[in-house]
Amino acid sequence: MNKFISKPYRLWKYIGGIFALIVFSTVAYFTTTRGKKIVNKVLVDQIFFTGNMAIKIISSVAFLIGAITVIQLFERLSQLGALDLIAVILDSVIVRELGPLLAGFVVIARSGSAIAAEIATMMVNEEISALEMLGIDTLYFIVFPRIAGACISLMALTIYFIAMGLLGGFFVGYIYAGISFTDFQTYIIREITFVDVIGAMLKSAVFGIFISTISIYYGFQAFTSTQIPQVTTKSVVSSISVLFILDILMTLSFSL
Amino acid sequence: MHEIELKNISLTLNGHRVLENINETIEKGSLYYLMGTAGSGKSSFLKVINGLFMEIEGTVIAGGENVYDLSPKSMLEYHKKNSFVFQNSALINNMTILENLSLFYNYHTSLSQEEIIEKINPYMDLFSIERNKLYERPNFLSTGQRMLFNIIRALLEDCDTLFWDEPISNLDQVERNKVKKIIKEKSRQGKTIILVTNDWEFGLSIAHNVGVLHNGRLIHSDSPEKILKSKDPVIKSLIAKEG
Repeated sequence: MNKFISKPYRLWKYIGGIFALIVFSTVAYFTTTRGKKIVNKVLVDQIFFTGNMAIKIISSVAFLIGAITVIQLFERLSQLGALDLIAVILDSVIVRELGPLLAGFVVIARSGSAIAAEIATMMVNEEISALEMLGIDTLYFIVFPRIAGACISLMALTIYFIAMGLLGGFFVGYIYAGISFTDFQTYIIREITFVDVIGAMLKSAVFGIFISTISIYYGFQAFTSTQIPQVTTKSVVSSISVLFILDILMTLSFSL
Repeated sequence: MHEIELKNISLTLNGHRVLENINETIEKGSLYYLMGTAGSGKSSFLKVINGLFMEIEGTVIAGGENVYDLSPKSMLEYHKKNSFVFQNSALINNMTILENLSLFYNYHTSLSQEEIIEKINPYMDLFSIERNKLYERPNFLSTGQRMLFNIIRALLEDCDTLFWDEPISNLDQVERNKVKKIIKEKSRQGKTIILVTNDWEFGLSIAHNVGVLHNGRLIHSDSPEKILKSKDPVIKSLIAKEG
């Protein structure tokens, strides 16, 4: 294929493939009645795999980000005499931006890459063909539980990230400036609105859907064992790029 | 009556021509034995019939319909009618053997786990496999044991068309004989069987029709008697290799 045609064609194939996986797997889940029990079991396993397994790393990253942000803000804002802005900045940084974004990065690194490698291995070992030969719809049995699992987990992880980030901020504020929990609650937690949290969850839901779908898409591109690390790397790189694009688009749309 | 009809089938994978202009018919209730050297396209031939490739050239007619024109739902129904013994076992590695064997019933029926185990047990006895193996993951089993569970999984489906891709190559003599007996029995029951095996003596002894693949081309399709008498150097080398 001509190289001027092949690039747009590949991009079109990629975008089409991603949206087809999301739409058709969701339709398959809500229109198929048989095998619901085992598909739901796979879904619960995926939520556990993506959510529970990432809690440790999310705890430390969120706590440290919260702490570092408060240290930096405290120094600068006290010099400017604008300490009351700390709550607004924490809300913007931790709740609206870093919570969904960094939780997304953790999920890409831990689960996205694992999903891509798992599906690629299943392709190479003909496990996907074996499932098809058993009359099992792979969109229903393999794709949907991974997309839904990542989406639900990432929403929960984002809320957890925000809580741990604020806890890190409070901890440093308490050590650094003797801020009491009541003050923390008055100035910071009150600043975080329900809309901010819903916005963060919406972002993380979209991130979860796309991270898992991109990983699945690349997993399905492997046909030989040497392609497994290649598609895994591609899935991680592509997920990071898409995460930034989605973040910018969603932040802009929220601010309108 | 034709069960399966392949018309002008060609297949290209990663830029390599795997199958080239295959025309063949497989009769309902017959045992079709496919022989050929390694890499001649035997496994791809079986997968093409089952619609396991995204794109092929030509048409595969099964049950009066072109397999590659089937809707996703009809394709699942078509797959349900065929069982496939994969050359490399293809058991799901993140499931236990019991979960692998139960998958078909758990997905398509409402049978209880006890009822499914009742269906599995006769095969466990037949192959003298310890029950505790059911709770292990495929990765922890030997190649031969994995192949046996792969065969059991296919037999549990109880389909009318069976595809066997090198089912006996990783088994010991006792197990080989048991599997051969099962294949003979299934053929006697009137099931359509498409068999790929390097054991040409066995293949030729039970087949109704034999296809010979060479470099992706079907160079012969005849009765076992005619294949045995053939002076074609490819056939002679295939038989001599094993003999």
